[in-house]
Amino acid sequence: MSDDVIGQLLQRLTTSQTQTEAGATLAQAAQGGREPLYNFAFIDEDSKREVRRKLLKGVALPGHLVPFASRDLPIARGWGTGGLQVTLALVEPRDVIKVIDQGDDDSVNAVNLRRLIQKTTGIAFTTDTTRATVLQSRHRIPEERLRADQILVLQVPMADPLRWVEPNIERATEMHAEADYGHMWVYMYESVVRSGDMNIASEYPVIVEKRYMMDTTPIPRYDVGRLHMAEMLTLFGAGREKRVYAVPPYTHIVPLEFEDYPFTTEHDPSKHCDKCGANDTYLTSYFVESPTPEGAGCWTYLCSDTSYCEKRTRVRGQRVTMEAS
Amino acid sequence: METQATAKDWVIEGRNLRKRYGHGCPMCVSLTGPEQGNRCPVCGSITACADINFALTKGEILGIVGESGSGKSTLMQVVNLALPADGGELWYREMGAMEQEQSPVNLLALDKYARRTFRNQRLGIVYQRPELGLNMNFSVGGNVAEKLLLADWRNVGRIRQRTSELMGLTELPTARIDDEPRMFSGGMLQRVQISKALSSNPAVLLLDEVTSGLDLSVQAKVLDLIRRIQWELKMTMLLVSHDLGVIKQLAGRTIVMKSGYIVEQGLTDQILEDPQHPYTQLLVSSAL
Amino acid sequence: MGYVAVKGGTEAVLNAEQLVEYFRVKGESEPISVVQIQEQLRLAVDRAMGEGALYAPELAALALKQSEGDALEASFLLRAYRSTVPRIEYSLPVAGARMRPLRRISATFKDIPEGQLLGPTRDYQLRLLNTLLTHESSASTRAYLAQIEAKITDETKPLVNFPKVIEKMREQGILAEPPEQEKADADADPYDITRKALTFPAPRSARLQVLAQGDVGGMLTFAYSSVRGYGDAHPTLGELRVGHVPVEVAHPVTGEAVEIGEILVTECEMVSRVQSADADESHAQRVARGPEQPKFGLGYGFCFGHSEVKAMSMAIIDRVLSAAKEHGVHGEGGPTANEEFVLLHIDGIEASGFTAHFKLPHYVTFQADISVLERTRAFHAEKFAAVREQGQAKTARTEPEEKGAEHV
Repeated sequence: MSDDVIGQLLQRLTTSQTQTEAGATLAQAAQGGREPLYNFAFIDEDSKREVRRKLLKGVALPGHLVPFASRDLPIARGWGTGGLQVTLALVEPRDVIKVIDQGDDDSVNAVNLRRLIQKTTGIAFTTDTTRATVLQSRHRIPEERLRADQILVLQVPMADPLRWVEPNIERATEMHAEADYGHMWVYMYESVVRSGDMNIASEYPVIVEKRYMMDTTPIPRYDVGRLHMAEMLTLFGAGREKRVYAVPPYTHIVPLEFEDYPFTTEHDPSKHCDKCGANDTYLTSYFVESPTPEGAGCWTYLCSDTSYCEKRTRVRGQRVTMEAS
Repeated sequence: METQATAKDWVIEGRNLRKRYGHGCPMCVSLTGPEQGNRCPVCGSITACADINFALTKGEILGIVGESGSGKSTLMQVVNLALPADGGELWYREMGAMEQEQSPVNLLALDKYARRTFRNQRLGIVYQRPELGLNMNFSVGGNVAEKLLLADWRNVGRIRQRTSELMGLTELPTARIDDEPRMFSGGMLQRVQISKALSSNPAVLLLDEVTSGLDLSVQAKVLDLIRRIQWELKMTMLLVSHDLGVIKQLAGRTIVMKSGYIVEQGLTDQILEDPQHPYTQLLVSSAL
Repeated sequence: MGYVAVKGGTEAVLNAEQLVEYFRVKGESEPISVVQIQEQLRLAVDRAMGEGALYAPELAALALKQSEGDALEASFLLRAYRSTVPRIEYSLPVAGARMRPLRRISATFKDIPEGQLLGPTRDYQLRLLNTLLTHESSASTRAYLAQIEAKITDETKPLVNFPKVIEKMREQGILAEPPEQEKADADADPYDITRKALTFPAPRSARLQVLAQGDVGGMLTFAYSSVRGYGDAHPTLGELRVGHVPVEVAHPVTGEAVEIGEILVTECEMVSRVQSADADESHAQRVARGPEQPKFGLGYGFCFGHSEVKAMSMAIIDRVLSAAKEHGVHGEGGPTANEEFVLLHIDGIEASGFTAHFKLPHYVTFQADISVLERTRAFHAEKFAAVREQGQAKTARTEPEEKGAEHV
């Protein structure tokens, strides 16, 4: 790439003016295949700067909700605009992105988000968790352990864990400021007394670094423990609620529990994935059509993390081939 | 006004407590008083509490009597650390089992966290209206357990056990521990409030017009309960009421308030038999 | 291929998009032009601009064409586009008093300075379907326009500047002044909700911005409920104006006001005498506020284009919220008096987005829900069994004669 092309590209990125025809063609040639009408990663540089500053604040105060001026995007509110703004504020041309929904790269929503990121950045994508530098996910943490050089971005529907007991934001903010979490504990106690155990299935509340109560997003309880003392940085984006928060690497995360009613996950080691055989991943039930028209079909369990499942299946298949030969 | 000499075993002592609603002006003090009323004619501010001095000794029930607008409920809320005072000090002394001199603490000088912790652990309050003291969305058991949970109790079994004990103490049916407050009568809800207030083994129990609005027979039962608790637990109590009859039944000593001032204080029997201040005389003569 | 197949999600999404396009044109009728939408469906265009928060009539018409007339979708398209447009400058405050009005009415007094101007309104029309419209042609519309033009003579008086009705009220001393804090805020830069997250309590500038781009259906619900009894509003229409106002910015060098164009807007001022006392407020607190000097409070409504229902609803909501703030009325003033409740749920794009998001796969959380459900059922089954055993034991103990030798 010639120097003047790079120079013009940098010029355009830093001044963020509207594109001229010539500039657009130049940019397209340099970036390779991304929509020239928009700034790199769609959002203007000032907005990205605000998101990054707010994220830094979130990292400095683990679990604390930081308000940010969430921008309107071509994707509907409630469909991942928060996670998207975090991702778009962070990505650089050399990043490799993985986008999943329910653990699946091919879920319709993941596809849609990936399309927008693709159109406006032209960067590389992967379905391999170990190869991604930034992972955006809805409702799951990937099975493969993330490293210190990776960033996990989780999509958040409802940011404030106190909404179960206090829907008014002003009062809830005061409660957070004063670490006044008594009502939440009464709520947990009541649920144990009424239904025999904590009845929060997902969006489980945890205490971060012994200070802030935080909502873990609708990841299953199975994934909650994996936030504790993790190596990767986890960022949370709530676009409609206009909040970001963060769990830096090696952060203390403790789910709300009682001594005699400890936090449990859904994990059942007696259940296996029908495809790869794993009994140590999060499984979800699937209805499988019968191979014959008269057959009834049945319910089975499969790994929700499809790329991991595929990896395991491939390895299994290779092993079988090797044993056979 | 005559101030109570500091008793040897005081638990709470209020000194020069002041609380005003409104901006205030230099004329407020001289233009308000028991005769003039509590509203300043110049600036319109209300002097709810003007230079209140009192002492609460361990194990006694101190009554505060006055009409609506006397400032007694305001004083209660200042002692409850729920309302910031405009001036004065509120001293507290922890009285251990050994009856030793502990160094006193000015509660009004504590920071927000310390005040909240103190209010949760060392104070208990019962309101006239149960919806002020209870959360109607939680069960009765959950309400009684709230202070325990705030004090970091984290064992459901033990919390439930203690909650049942507390309900037994106030003669509530423990089988109804999981019922919601709306299924309970007024008198029973007062018992729930008392159970909740006692759950942290507080140093002082604050009772704000707790029987006003209850049927006479229910009122009598609740008063009996309070008397019993005071006797069994040697509980120190501050009792606010507009009803001299209630004061007479429970309080050993009484403070009479009018328009934010203390007009008279002393032994309840003495005040009732031989009231000195004209206002007290009026109150006593109009009581049945 | 399932909804979340291992492969094929991408294909499904692309096919779905093609199908949408197919449904839009499969009737094979003459494609509607954007100009036709802009001119003949101007009120839909105005609504899209108002909720999209972007004054761009041609783009709004295009958005309506693209979304097949779905008002929320159209405003969504405009809102997303607005995000990409560079922010240059804040305009100087737009003055409704300088409006070139098409319509100007007031319900407060029978006769107002310069009179009531009905303008183009359907208010007094009988709502009868007009089947003649199905046979409209360019010829018939041209004939109609010629009729109207013939009535415009040289003697037709030019429109005067209409003074604001509320200014008269202000002169008479019956209009309340805004609180001190609001006056101070008015001189500073506006609280830009697109650049700063909304926090509570919200300044009036933020409140009005949120309402101005709010969904008209939601706003109607709030306004209607508050005048029907779930609130304290007894409003009277101070003034309703529809017309063109000039938009000016300060010259970057000289600082003088420079007109950059004009926009069509609807502006509404509602006045009401709201009851001042809160039932919970103690006598002491009420008296401390000072002597009672009742006045009329003002509620302000403003939106792009011609939308009277929206501007009026906005003005009513604004009045209720202002009154609630001044007198500390919460909750008991009805849901409309709860600022957080109104402002957080009034945005059509947010509300529809989140409501629609329930269509997204939720099977991971549902699996988790199932596991909790099973656990709870087991708990209750155990409890029931224990209770029943107790009952049986009791029965056995109380009927020893019948049981004979059998004892538990």
